[in-house]
Amino acid sequence: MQVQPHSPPELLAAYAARPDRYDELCQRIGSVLVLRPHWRDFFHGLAAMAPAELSARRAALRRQVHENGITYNVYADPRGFARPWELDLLPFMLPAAEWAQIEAAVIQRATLFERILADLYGEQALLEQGLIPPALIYGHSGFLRPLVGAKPTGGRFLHLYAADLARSPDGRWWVVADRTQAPSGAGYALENRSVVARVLPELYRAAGVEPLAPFFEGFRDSLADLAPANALAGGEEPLIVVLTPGPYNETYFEHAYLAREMGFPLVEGQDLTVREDKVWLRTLDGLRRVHVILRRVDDIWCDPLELRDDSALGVAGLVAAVRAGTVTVTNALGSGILETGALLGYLPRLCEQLLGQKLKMPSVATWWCGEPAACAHALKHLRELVLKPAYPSFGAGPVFCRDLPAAELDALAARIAARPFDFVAQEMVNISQAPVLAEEGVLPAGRRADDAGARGLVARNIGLRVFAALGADGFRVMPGGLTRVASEADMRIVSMQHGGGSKDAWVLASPARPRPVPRIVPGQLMPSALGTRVLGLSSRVAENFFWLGRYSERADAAARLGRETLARLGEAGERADEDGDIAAELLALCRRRGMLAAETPADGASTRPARDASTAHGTAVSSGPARAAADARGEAGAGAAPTAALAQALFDPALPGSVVASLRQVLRLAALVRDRLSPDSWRIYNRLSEFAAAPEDELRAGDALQRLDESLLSLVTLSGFVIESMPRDAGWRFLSIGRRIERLQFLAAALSALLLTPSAGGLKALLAVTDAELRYRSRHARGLAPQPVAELVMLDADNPRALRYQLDSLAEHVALLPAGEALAAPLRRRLAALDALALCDCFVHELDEARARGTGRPPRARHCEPLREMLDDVWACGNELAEALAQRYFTHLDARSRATVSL
Amino acid sequence: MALYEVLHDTIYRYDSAVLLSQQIAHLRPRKRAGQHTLAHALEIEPAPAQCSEARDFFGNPVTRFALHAPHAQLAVRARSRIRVDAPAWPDPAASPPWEAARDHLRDGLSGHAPLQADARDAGQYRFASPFVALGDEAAAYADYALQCFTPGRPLLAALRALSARIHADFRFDPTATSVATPVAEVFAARRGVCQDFSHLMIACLRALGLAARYVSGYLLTEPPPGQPRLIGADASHAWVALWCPGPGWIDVDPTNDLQPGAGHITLAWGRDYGDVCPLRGVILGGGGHQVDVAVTVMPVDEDSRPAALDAPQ
Repeated sequence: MQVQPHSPPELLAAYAARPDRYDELCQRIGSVLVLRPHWRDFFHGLAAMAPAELSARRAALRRQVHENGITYNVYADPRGFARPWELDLLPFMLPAAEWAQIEAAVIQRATLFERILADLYGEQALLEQGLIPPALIYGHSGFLRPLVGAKPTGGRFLHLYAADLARSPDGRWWVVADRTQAPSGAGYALENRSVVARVLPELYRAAGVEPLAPFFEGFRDSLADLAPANALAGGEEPLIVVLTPGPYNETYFEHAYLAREMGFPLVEGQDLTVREDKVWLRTLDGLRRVHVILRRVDDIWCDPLELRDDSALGVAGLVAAVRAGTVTVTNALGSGILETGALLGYLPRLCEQLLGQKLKMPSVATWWCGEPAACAHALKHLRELVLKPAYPSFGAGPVFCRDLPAAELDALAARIAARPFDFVAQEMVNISQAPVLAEEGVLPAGRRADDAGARGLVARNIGLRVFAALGADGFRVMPGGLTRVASEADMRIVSMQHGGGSKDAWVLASPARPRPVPRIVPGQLMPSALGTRVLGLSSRVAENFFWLGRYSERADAAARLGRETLARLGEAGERADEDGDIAAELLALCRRRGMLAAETPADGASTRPARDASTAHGTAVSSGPARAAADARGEAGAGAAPTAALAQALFDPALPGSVVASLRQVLRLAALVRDRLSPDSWRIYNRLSEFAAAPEDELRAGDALQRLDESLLSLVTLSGFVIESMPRDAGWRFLSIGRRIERLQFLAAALSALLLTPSAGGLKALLAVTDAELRYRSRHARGLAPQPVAELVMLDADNPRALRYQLDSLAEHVALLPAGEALAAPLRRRLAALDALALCDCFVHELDEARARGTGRPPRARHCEPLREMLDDVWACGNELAEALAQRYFTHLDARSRATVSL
Repeated sequence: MALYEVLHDTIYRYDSAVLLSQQIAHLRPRKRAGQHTLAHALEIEPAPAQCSEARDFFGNPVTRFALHAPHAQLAVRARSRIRVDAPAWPDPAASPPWEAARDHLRDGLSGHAPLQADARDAGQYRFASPFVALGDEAAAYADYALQCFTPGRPLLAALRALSARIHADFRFDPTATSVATPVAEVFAARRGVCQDFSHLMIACLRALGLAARYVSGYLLTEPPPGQPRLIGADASHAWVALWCPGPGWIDVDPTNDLQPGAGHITLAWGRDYGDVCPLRGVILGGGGHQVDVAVTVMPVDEDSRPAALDAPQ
């Protein structure tokens, strides 16, 4: 195959344009293939890149996808639950003239669907006139009868619509499917743009691409206009929320991304409640009225009271609120019914009847078997058709009849004959193909990998999802869309859920119009004219931030303690027995913090991590400092075995207190509050994910130390970011409270274990795990002594890793929470007790006694008892505070709504 | 003609406080030919924060209410005085062949032929619904029903035959099923209660392409000879109605294998139990719960006031 003119042969050597498909890149003129005109500039720009350059661009694209954390959840994906988004470096190109036709057709279709919905949930004249067969609606579980007669506020049903388009071999565009429920993909398209435009900046600028951001800005601003007019008190700004099923949904990334980009709170069903037929958001400041819900939950799951009663995703009473006209849900509840393929065949007639126009873009040929003539046709030509369910049903994908053995085909025909209403038959379309950059190693045999490099293009089947959003002046179409790419050559299904990839879509600006000025940061929205609304945090988000803070700090403490213990174990093998004792103390501390498995059944009771009383989220890692002595006594010597065991344990996800387990919690929680994290902070979290994987090989102590150092570096970067860049809102406050509680408890446990055994080794370890060595040395040149160490680690008001500092800071934070003053009082009491403690009584005599006896090791001094009691008390006060916060501010996750029925 | 006083009490007792409760009640009897509600009262305790009356999609009266204050018990007591005239059902042998009813619906619903308004309404009850799944199992229901729906048999004669067959083949067993037991399981186990038999019969009729709806209501039961009527000893009842071109909806009670007379009191109808459940709700909190339902159907004289209404409980 030859492509002319000027085509660098190596780029297209493996590219096969096929006669039975439309090729987006090349056209056949006579016997030669030439590039289509709108691809030429881009293609030559690409061809001018050295192979190494192309590889580097692709590597940069993958890094961006990873760092932005763009994921798509695939339920059974071997690569893990949250799969990295597949994005090809090459965009899909569309010339202005062709785009204008697509745009007009999609607007017409969205308008038509709006009219159909209004009729189905209103007068139902279309059913009466037989323009839509009643069976198609009555038999559909998405026809939501409780919504019949409910007029949406603002009078419109459809606000965001998407059409899946494909191109047939003759070059015509067809609509393959319609998305009227809660179309996904627009956010991915925006993110694709921001990545590709950044990785190919010169080609992007040179091409004159229509920007995507104005579409989103328009959509965002139009949502504000949807708020029920009577619902806004004087001057009140509408509260718009994005309703998500939660992080297990396959497109959760997009929900969080759109919510963040558009500046709307991301909420789950349990965050909302209906009172007096109005919808409210549970926030720290109480209930806040919600005016508009942009839903990403399918409509039948939206209200367990009136729709599916087994739904845990919805809001009980939402349907009643919609009927009462106090809230706008978009797209309207019930709009999912139009996604049925059974409707496609009726659209030309409906378009003429309702809009007085011919349908601009045809749908793929479709026969709904409920109509006798169509059923006869389908049964006659079954082998050439694709069979789909007419009504939504679980796990029923398209059936390509051509692939079926004769017996199965007969069985299918029998089922169609028995239940014709349930089936839709569609023509198989050979969809068009476009170039993608080949993976290394997938070029045809005979070509060496090194000369292929990243340079080869291969052809893959593509489909285009186009979005239209309702604005003040009707529907607007996003110039571009989500291009989906089949994962393999000849793959028929083009879908992300089936392992496909994606492309950015570039709509080239019309030569007749001025070129669009590229945004400085493509893919980023301008702030809303409404300004940002100061809104109380939802209770669920507050709780997630709290635990994010706790687990970040827990990971930090585990890494520091693990590092010190490993070092001591190494030394203990060779040196004096005091180090051996300290190593034993440190191991006992590790054990109490759930970083090591309990060794004997006897001390199992004390080391098994207890469940935090406060919440379903966390596990407590210590049963209190009072256990220190008992654990230490149960600990036998040191040696190589504990070193190896600890090196493994620190990265064992099964141990609740291990570094890896804590980091995994950090990542899980970060994903939950993702819409509130800036892209930069998200990148830091993403980097942490490298350390959240369990190591594949057994780690030696040296490797473990290095891994700990690296994890700590990322954790420190994160806390630096929290200090420097996070806005001081309620989320930050709960994050800080979580950190401080965790650090408070770690310090209490470490002090109890290491300070009350006054040995030089213990003091040194204490300074190491609290990062205070340098400060200590700069203050005290004379060497280690218990009292100055205690002063520095307990009482120093300026040391952010001192016990006093945690109490002080906690008291300050909780006092600023709504009605938080009551929570600060117990903390202030502990502060007073700490200040009143006479440290000199605890230590001075003790060391003197020890010296006097010349044994070098004092017995556990009775003088320490007041200090021990106080540390126990401080530790307990951390738990009390956590419980009080949970009761006062957090959603009670165990108190989910449940449906009840009676006979 | 008969006159009844119906008491329908539902009491939920929760293990811990319910913080928020939203409920939908189908407890006010709907009006239908031959049946009139002379008086009705719904007592809710504790008093709801919000309560409203409306009609649902199927034309049944519904009461929606919500409780916002914590409560450990919810009592809903419905009192209705209803007049029922025994319906005159058409002669089964005079009804059209059952295939005619099927084809009439099919042609109208598929847009193949113009559809009258009554048939369009019947079409609502022609398809699968949440409690009546009709996937591949539909073939088995159709086979079962075809024993009675022999070619050319008059629709209503076939309906009576199916009722007799279900009554003979299935055993009444309140321990065998729960509210959530799927029809397929009832069909396999051959036992259940009125709700199960009604769903099964509906599944059979819809599998043949006919329109059938679920009727929720009450049945007058006669106390054993010589014993007084016990308050609360009755239960709510359910039966089936089939759409017949011409006369319209024809009721049949497969649990007792009879055509409802003056002893059947209609509460509401829908596609299945889920549409007309007497009391359905969503609660926040509460832990576990126990529900007690007591139904009493008392025949009364035109002018009398029965003892139970004078002194409830």
